[in-house]
Amino acid sequence: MSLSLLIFLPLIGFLFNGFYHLKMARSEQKSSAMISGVIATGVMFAAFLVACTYYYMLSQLPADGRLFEQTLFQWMKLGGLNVSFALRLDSLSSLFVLIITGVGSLIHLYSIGYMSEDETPAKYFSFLNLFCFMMLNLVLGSNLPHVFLGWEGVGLASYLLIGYWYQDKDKVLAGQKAFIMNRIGDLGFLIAMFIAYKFVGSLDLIDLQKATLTPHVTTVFGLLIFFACTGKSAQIPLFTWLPDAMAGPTPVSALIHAATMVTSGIYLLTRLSPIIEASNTVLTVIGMVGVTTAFVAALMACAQTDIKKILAYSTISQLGFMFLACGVGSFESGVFHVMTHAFFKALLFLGAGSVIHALHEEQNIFKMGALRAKLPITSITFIAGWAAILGLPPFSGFFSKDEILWQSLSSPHGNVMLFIIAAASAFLTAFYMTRLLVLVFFGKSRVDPAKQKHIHEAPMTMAIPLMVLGVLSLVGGWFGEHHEHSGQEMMVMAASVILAGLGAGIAYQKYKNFEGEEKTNQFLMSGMGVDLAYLSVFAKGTGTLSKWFTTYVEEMIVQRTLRWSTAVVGLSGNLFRVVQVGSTQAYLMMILIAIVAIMAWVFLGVGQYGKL
Amino acid sequence: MSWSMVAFSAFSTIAIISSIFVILKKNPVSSAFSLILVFFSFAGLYAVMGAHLVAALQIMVYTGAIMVLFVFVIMLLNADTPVLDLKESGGLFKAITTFGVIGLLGILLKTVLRAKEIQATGNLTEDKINELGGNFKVISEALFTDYSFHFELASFLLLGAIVATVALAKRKSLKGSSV
Amino acid sequence: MTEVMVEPWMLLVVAMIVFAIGLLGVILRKNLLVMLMCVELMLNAVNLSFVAFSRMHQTLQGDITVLFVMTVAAAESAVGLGLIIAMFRTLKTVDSDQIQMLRD
Repeated sequence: MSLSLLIFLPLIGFLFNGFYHLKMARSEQKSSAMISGVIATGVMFAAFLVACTYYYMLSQLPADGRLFEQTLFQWMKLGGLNVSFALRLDSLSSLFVLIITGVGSLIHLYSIGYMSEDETPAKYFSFLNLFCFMMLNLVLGSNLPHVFLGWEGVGLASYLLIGYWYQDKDKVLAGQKAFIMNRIGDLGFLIAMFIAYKFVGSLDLIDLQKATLTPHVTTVFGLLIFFACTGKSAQIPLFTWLPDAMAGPTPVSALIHAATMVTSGIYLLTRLSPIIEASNTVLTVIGMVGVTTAFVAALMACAQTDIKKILAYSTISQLGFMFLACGVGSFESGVFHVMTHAFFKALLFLGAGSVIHALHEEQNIFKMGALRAKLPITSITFIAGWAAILGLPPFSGFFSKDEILWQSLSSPHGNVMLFIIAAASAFLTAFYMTRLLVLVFFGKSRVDPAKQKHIHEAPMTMAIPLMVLGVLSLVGGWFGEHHEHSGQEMMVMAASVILAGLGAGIAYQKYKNFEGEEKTNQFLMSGMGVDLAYLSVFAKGTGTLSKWFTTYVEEMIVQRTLRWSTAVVGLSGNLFRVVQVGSTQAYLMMILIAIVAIMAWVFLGVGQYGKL
Repeated sequence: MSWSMVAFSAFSTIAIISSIFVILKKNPVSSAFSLILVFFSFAGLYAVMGAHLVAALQIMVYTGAIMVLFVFVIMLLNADTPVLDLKESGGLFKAITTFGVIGLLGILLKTVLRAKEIQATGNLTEDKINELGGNFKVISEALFTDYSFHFELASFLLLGAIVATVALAKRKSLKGSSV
Repeated sequence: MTEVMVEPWMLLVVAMIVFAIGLLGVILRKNLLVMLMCVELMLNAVNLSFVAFSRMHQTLQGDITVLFVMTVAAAESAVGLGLIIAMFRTLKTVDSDQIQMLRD
C-alpha cells in the first residue's frame, strides 16, 4: 500500500467514468447512474479505507515524527528550482484526507439517488471524482506548486460542476463567475509563490515552515496567501461567487461548496502558519476579515428565501469563523471547526437536497412547510444538523464554535471587539437556521397543492448518508482534544448557548405560524449590493476604460498607424505594379538588365570581388 | 591562310548571318530554315575544332530531330495564317533590350579576351587524341566509364520528356482556362 | 604570309555573338515558336563555347557536357513544343502577350 493509492483511486474513477460517458454519449445512450455511481463511490470508499489505515499508522508513530512521504517523480527542474511530485501525509493533512474521502464517499453515495434521473450521470460522477483527486492533491502536495495544482484543479472541477446543467445560461454564468473570482485570488497565490522562491529559494512546504523572513516579506507573503484564501474560501471581498455556485447540483454544493474545497483556505493558512503567525498585521487582517465576513454573511442569510442560498451564506459565515480562529492564532480550533462544519453543513445541504428532490426542484422556503411528517428521516437528520450548527451542547458545533469564541476573547491576538461581533454572528446563525428549520419542517404547509401529493421520502442511497452524517454531527465534537475549562471559559460557553437559544426562540416565535411570503430586505438579499458594486466599479469601469482606449488609443494611434502603413504598402504596391505587365518578354528584359547590372558589378571590378 | 581558317571564317559568317535571319524573318518557316543553316554551320565549326563526335551529333540531333519537330509543329499549327500576325514590340522596349544586350556583349567580350590567358590543365592535345584512337573513341570510352551514371540519368530525362509530351498532346485543352 | 591558326577564343567570340542574337530574339519576338528557336540558338552558342573551353584546357569534359546539353535540349524542345500545341488548342494563339491568365 502506498500513499499514491489515495490520489490514484479517485483518478481511476474519473477516467473510468469519463470514458464510460464518452462511450455512451457517442452511441447516444443514457449512462447508468447505478454503474457509474457505484464505481465512483467505490473508489472513494476504498480511498477512505486507505486514509483510515494511514490515520491509524500515523497515530502509532511518535508524536514528533508523524509523517509519511512518497515521491512519485520529479516534476520540474529549472536552475535552482527542483519541484518533485511528492505526497506528504501528516496529522493536518490526514484529517483533511479523512474528511474528503469520508464525507466525499457519503456524498457520492447520496448522488446515486439524487442524480438517478439525470441525463448524463457518468459525466457527473467523473467530475466529482476529478474534484476528489484534485482536492487530495491539494492537501497531500509537498510543495507550493503541487498545492497550486490541486488548488486550480478543484477550481476547475467546481466550475464544471456549477455549470453542470449547461443548458441553463444562468448556471453557466454562475460557473464562470466562480472561476473568475477564484482566478483573482489565485493571482495572490502565484505572486506569493514567486516571493517564496525569491526569498526562501525553495517551494517545499517544510522549508517554508522553517524559513525565517524579514518582517516586510513575511507580511506581504502572508497577505497574498490570505488573498488567495479569500477567493477559494469565499471571504470578503471575493465571497460573491459562493451563493451563485448553488446553481450546481445539491450534492456538489455539499461536497465542494461546504465541506471541502472552500476550507482549503484554512488548510493553506494552517500549513503555512509559522509564516502567518510571524506577522501581527497579517493575523489582524485575517481576524478582522474573518469576523466581518461571519457577521455580514449571517446577516445576509437572514434575508434569503432560497433554501440553498441560506446555507451558502451560512457557509460563508462559518468560514468566517474559521478564519477568525486563524486570525487569533488558534489554527487548531479553526481546523477543528472545519471538521465539525464538514459534518453538519454537508448534512444540512444533503437534507436540503432531499427536500428539493421531494418537492421537485422547489427551493423557496416560503413554499414549503410542515414537511416533518412526510420526510421523517430528512427532518430528524436536519434537526441534528441544526442543533450542531447552533452550538447546542453537547453536539459537535458546540465544541468547535465555543472554542473559537473563547479563543477570540482570550488569545493574545484576540480582543473584546472580535468576541462581540463573533457572538452576534452566532446569535444570527441561530436565528436564520431556526427560521429555515421552522419554515421548512414545521408550521403550516405552503407547498404548491399540485406538488403536495408527490412528496416522497428520499431513497435509501440518499437516506444512509443523511443518517451517518447526522450521527457524526451529533458526536463529531468528541473527536477534538479536550482540556480543562476555566471558569471564564464556562461563562463564555454559557453566554453563547444562551445567545443561540435566544436567536432560536425569536425565530421560532416569528415563524411558527407564518403564512404567505416574507418581504425580506432586498439590500441584504442581494448580498448587500456587492455584486452590483463590482459590476459598476470593475465591469463598467473596465468598459469605460476600454471605450476611452477605443476612442483615443485605438482610433488615434493604432488605426492611424495602420492606415498609414497600409497606405505606404499600397502606394509602393501601385508603384511596383508597373513592372508586373504580365508579358513574358518584359520579364525577360528585366532579367537581362539585372544580369547585366550584376555582371558589370562583379566582373568589371565595380565591386570588391572583380577580376575574373 | 590555312584551310581551317578559311572554313572557320565561312562557317562563322554563315552562322551569324543566319541567326540574324532567324530573329528577323516574319514567317516562322523562314526562321526555322535559317536555324537549320545555323546548326549546320555550327557542326562545321565543331569539326574545325576537331570535335568530330559533337559535330556528327549536332547534325543528327539538332538538324535531324529537333528542327524536323519544329517544322512539323509549324505546319501543324498552320503558322502562316493571319492568327500569327503578331504585333511588334514597342520602340522603347527594343531600344532598352538592345542596349542591355550590347552591355552584355561588352562584358562577355572582356571575359573572352581574358580567356586567352587560360592555361591547359589536361594533356589531351589533338595529337594525343589521335594516338588514343580518335575523338569518337576517347569520348565514348569516357561516356561509358566515368560518366555512365550521368548517361543513365540522361536516359531517364528523355523518358520523362516522352511521357510528358504524350500527356500534353493527349489532353483536349488546358483545364479551367479562360481567355 | 604567316599562317593564322584558328584559336579557341575566336570560337568564343562567335558563340558570344550568336548568344546575343538569340537573347535578342527571345526578348523581342512574340511568337512562341520563334522564341523557342531562339532558346535553341542560345543553347548552341553555349555548346560552342563549351567545346572552345574544352580545347583551351585540353580536356574532353566540355565535349561530354555538350552531349548532355543536347539531350536536355531535345527533351526541352519536345516538351516545349507539346506545351505550345496544348496552348494553341486552348487559346488559338501562339502570341506570348496573349497568354496572361495569371496576371489578374
